[in-house]
Amino acid sequence: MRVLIVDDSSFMRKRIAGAVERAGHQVVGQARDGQEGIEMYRSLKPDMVIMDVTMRGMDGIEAVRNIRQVDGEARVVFMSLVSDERIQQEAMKLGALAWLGKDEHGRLIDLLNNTGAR
Amino acid sequence: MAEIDMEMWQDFVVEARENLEEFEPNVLLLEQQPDDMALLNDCFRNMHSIKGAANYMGLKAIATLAHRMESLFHAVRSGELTLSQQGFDLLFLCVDRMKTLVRDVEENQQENHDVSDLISSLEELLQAESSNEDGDHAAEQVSASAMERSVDEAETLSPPVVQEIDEDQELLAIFREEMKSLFGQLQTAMDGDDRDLQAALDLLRDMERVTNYVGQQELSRFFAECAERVEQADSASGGENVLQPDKLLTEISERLSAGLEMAFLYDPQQVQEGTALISEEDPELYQIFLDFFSQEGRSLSLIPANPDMNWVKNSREAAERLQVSANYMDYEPVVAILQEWMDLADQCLEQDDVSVDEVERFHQIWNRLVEVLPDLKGLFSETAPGEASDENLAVPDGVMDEGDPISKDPESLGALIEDEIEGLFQDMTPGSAEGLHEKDVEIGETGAGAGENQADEVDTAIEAMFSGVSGDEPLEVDQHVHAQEQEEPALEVQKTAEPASASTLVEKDSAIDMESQVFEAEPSNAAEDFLMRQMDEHLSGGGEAFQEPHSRGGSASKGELIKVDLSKVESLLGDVGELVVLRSSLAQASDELKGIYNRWLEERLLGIGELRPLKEVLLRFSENAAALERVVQQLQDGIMRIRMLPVSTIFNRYPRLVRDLSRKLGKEVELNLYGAETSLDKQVIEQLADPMQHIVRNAVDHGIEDPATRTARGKAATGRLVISSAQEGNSVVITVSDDGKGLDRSAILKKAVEMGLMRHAEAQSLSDSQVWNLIFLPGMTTASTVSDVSGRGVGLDVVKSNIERIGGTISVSSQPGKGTIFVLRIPLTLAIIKGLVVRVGHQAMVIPVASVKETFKLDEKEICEIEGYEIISIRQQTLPLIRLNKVFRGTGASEQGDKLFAVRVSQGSDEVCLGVDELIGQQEVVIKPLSDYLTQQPGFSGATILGDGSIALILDLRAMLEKARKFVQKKQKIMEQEALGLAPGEQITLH
Repeated sequence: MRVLIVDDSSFMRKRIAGAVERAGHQVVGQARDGQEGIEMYRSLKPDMVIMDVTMRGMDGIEAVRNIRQVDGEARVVFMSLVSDERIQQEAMKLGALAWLGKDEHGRLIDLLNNTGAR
Repeated sequence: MAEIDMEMWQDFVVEARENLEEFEPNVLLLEQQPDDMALLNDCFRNMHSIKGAANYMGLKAIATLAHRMESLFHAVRSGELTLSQQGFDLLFLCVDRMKTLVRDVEENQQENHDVSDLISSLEELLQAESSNEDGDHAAEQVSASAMERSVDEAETLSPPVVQEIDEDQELLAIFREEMKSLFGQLQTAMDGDDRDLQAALDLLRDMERVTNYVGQQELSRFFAECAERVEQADSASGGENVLQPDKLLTEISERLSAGLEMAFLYDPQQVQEGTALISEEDPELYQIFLDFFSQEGRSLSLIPANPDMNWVKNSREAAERLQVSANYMDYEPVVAILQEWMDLADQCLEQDDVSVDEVERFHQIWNRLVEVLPDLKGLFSETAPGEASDENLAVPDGVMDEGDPISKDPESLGALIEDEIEGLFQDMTPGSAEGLHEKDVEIGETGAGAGENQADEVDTAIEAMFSGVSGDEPLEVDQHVHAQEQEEPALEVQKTAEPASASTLVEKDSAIDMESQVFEAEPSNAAEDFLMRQMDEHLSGGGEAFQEPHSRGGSASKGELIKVDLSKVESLLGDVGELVVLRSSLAQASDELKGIYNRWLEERLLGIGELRPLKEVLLRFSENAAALERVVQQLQDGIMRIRMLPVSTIFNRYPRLVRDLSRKLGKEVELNLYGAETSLDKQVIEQLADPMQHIVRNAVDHGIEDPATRTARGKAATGRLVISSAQEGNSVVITVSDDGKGLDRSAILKKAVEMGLMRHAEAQSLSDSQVWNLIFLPGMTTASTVSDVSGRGVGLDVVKSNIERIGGTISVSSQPGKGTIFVLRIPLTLAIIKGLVVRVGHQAMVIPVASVKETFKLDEKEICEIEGYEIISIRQQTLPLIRLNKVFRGTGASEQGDKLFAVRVSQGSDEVCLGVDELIGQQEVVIKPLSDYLTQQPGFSGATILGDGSIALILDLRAMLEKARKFVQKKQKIMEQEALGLAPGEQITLH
């Protein structure tokens, strides 16, 4: 599965990318904020986007909203420590597959393994 | 938890540091601008980021601390908490502790410091403030969702600045946000399959309370009613059918829109009956509808003065299509209005004519449509019929009209969708000039991101807006000129990382203004002349220095970085040095080969036919040697650049340093940093850190007066400290200027006489610049009080020698009562210098070109001997001559002859001529450090390998001149003694 990671923390990007790659998936791009995420989504057309929420500039929710405009079928998993339920609900309303904590690599990989490539 | 390896620790440390480096200056700025939402958001995000990574690594102390600090910023953002100065002190303590903890982690992969004290202080702070509140639910729950959201939105939410009804507005903003959020939750609770009536009930009760709290009794009663209905439905079996949730929600949304509008009715400007009837809870759908409208509805928006039947037909069709989607969206008012349009159009079509009256009616219908859907206005406004196209939809309008979020680039609407919902309410919020400014930047960002040509247009528009202040060269020069006369408001260290903006230039002006103050009076001597020239250069040619003021920590354009062991770069540089040597010898070999070829050709040792292949090889050889030279040069430059760091690495410490110092000393100091992006070799920067810190401390401690004194002297209570840096050729010029009390001439002279440096009469005759330079002598501290800030031990002499050790110079100029300016000239790098290669006996030596003033042939006859010392006169100036072959005896005897060459060198205020046997030429040399046992013998700072493979020693001019200075002093003493009729003193030998 071709995965795009959007996170403003390079620490987190590396960790997530490591986990994704160890599970045999391909990280096709890593973006540092929402805007870059949208651009990379446009050019890379990944099978899955792993999206942070709190980022400099455009945040993850906005980014996903934009990505969904580009591609209504886009598949997104949020990985965030934001605990506010309203935001989580908002995210899920955007059609995200899941809302995961930053260190829930296991669940992330399960999700990747059980989602078919497009 | 994933496995933790060394790399992860490093990653953590690097990122935590990055965040802290960004965080600290932002907190400093926040202290000045406590309402800056963007700053608050950044601070919040920094802590959020650190918390995330620390949690991941299982670092409890850092995670907890970051979490609490995050909460603190959350509270500040939502207006629940205002940070006092003590609050900021606490924040800085937290930053320091966190830095310590990060260092712990770096060194031991564990946390060795406790944070419980800070945690409890933070908690106290949070609780103390929240207990001031009514404890009302509304205040606590404020818009958490918005808080987590992007900078852009938070800026939108922040109340406009300086309004009479500011407080009310703020409250209303909170209230609206709260209601919006509650309504969103209510929808979720009432939604479809997992309907949770109990939650809905709670939410309705909340809404009842909140509305009651803000005095919306009618709404409050309405919510009470709703709650009752839900309660009944919940208790009754199968009651859900009775409830009709959709109907309830619609009702609530209507009442809410109406009610919230009412809240503004007291502002007569805002009264607009019948507006904002459409409240769409699904922004995505609303967006799609708007997009559709922008495509289809153009003909409706552009009503020609004399419409033809074609237009009527087109508009009718468009209205019909729009009606279908409006119907789908359940936008009943829109459907109705569109129906009117269609009816009117039908009527026109029937009579095959459009009367003036009917045109007016079309306009009316359109206006009503805009009333119902205010966002339409932005979609089409200002677009002339002729240039109607989807590409340029009202973009300029978006720039000018900040009151209406939708009037921006339609492509980026998605990004602003939150504003969209806000838009329901926002029209009622009066804008402010500041809001306008922020919006513009925002548009620039979103526009650029869309990657469409709109982005360019928006950018252009923004540029146009700023063109009055920023822009091309002449304009800038103009600004500088004006800066002399006009008093610009002082600004703090750059507020945001904006593109060149008005504030940037204003800051430039302040700095220049300040400097011109320092130099207000006529310079009285050469040294000040020199300084003046330098400042002039800064102001005109060296505009670079002021191009970009110190931007907020961690600019957005920061690229990916890798961490490389410096020793690897060093060894690479060493290799390149070898390569340079090889290249030179290759070039030499090429020349020699050519010589051989020419000789063979001339002497006809071989025929032309036989020589042709040789000639071809030669050609290729020399071509490649030239190419190699280019590549090697690039390689060398590239590697040098790797070693370069922006001076911001040390500049970044000063805001905090100055803040802490001024707090401690009870002074008010404003710090302006310029040219923080100027690069210097890492090694140089490291050596520069201490001297610079010393100068900055001095300026705050001894230079700038306390507020009372300043006021008494007719100055602004807040002192100004300006630090700037700019590259000039192969060096970087750093200036530190303050508008403090200036240097005290008489105090310095008194001290100098006390120390026995000179006699009183002599002292009085010194020029100002000579006096100022005395402060660089050991023991010359004139501070009357010993403070724990600057102390008394280390003087400027140490600063000076540290600067000179890295090949730099330092000078000072001052105007009593006006201020002091230190000018440091630092070489870009220590690794490569431009050197003048000379021959002394059989030894090649390199003299740094930076110190060389001139070279000339010298006749033995021109040398005078005074008491065994050689001096020469150049243009009425008498300079000591130091023959290098006498200083360095191992170089072998000079060739006998009456000619030798003199190299006039200077360092600081000292000047001598060096006698050498031959001038070989000027070249860039890569310095190789000498082994330790060689450095014990002063005189050389390093060695280098020349093109022919021979080794050249690099002269340490400072040591050289030190000797020369002693020499001159001795000579003067001897002359004095002679004058007194005493026997000549002992002679000094230069060895």
